[in-house]
Amino acid sequence: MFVRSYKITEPKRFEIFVEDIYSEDILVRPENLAICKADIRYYLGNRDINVLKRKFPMSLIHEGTGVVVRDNSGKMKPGQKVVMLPCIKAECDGTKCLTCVRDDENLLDNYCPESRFRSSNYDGFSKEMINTQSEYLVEIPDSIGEEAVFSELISVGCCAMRRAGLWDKKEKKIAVWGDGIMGYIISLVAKYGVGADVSVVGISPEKLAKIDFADTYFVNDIDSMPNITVAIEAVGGNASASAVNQAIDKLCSGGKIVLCGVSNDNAPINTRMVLEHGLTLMGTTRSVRCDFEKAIELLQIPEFRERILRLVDGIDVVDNINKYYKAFDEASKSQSLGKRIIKLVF
Amino acid sequence: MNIAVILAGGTGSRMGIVDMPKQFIEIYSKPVIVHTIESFEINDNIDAICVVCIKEWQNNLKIWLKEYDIRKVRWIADAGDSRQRSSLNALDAIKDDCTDEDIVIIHDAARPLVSQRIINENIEKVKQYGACDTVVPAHDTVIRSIDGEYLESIPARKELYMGQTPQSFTYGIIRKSYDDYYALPEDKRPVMTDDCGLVLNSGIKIGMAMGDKINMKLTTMEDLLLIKSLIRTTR
Repeated sequence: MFVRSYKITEPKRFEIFVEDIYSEDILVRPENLAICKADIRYYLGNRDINVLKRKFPMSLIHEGTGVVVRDNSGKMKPGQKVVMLPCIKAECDGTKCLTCVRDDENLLDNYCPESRFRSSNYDGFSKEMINTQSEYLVEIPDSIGEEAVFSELISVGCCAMRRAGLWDKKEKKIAVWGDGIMGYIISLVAKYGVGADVSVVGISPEKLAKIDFADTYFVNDIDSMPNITVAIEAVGGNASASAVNQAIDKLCSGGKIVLCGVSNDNAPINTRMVLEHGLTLMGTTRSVRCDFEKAIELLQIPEFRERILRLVDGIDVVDNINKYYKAFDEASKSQSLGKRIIKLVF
Repeated sequence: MNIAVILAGGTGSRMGIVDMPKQFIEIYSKPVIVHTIESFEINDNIDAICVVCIKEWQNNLKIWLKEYDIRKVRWIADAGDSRQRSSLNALDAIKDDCTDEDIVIIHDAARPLVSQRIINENIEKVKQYGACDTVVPAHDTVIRSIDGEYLESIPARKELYMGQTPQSFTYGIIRKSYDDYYALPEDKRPVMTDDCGLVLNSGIKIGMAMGDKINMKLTTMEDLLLIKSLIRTTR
């Protein structure tokens, strides 16, 4: 069937595509979408142009919910609201790598070099319809509304907790560096998912003021912050190194640093203290199905959901490509903690 | 209930193809009519579909409906000798299953690129006005000529729109318009090229839904080239 989509063909250039897709599996109509920083990097062309040329044309946006239109497998009912998962499993027999990570519960498909990720090396959700399978969809209960669009970000927080082994750990004194949306959500997951005492370190007094569920510290004034057992870095960019070094200074011996932010350059880190205190550094990015399921579970906790709802800056009906351009332009300039939800209509 | 009526009664004489009408030719291995029906099949707001089809092609149509797993087609009506007769046959086919308040969305089988937004906007406008036409603003200057040789006038462009399909109505309104039209003696019936003309003739106001240029009609070989060149491979 013919479906329409928006694709980026070069920085700051979207085009309408009409594609012929097959619906052998489940047909889903993307409904609510949110623009991620990674989408903005593509939009602004903040990547090596040769890398971009290999990826374009590509539909952007990997944070989204949709409605099942048709399911030939009979597993889902038409009308069912779902979160659409962006990580697509590799078509690989598991022999390409020295060790296959796909069966490693700590890593899973997310770390398989053959996996694809929507809006990164595969088409995202800016489409009239997508053809997918039930394993890439998680049902949304009726009690959750448009805020389900944040499931992907929440799942990234859940992935960080899972990878750091925090779901089952008892003693939990966690500090999160970063007062952006990722830092906010990871802190929420640590608080309501893990049940930890959470401290948040940030640079924006306005954004820190919105974190009413944890102790907050301005980045230049963390002396009074108690020592911690786990530090989560959700800063990224050029400030990544200084956040990690602050965390190293605050961690108890045997502590753990979970790196979630995307740094720009090589980060100089105080490795002497890492080995002196026997610290563990681990990286985590993106998420897989079990993390999305956990995200939906968390969204059913009223206190958690209410604080996610605060991230909804508004809802824009995007029913033509001019409005799609506008949505990206505004997102690229936004300084807000939250995001605007895009209701895509083709 | 919202019922899509797909008109596939044309013979496609302007295409030059002699062995089949245009709505049955294939675009990338699938008949045009199937592409069109699929757009309505996947729309949440469409409950059922009636296809008006040339008798000789109805068996092929039934095979395609099975082959492409199309489930919403409940009626296949015979094509008439004019567009009006085909629409009327569809209204007759569905009459026992619908009420005056149900919405009928009438669409050309030869417009396979209709979007979900256009279909949904038609339904919304019918709820608002009772009748709706899909239009696009005329971007080119439109010239009026009576004899085809001399320019008669240049109508104000801002008042002009190009009509597309779907054209949508409550069943009650379109039914009454057809009844009024066919109640006239044959020589008194005005020449109509579409369903909205009939409804307008009955003195009913018609709302406008915004179409788009992609929702083009396959009429000539050039259109086939354009439609094919619009469609790109997917991943």
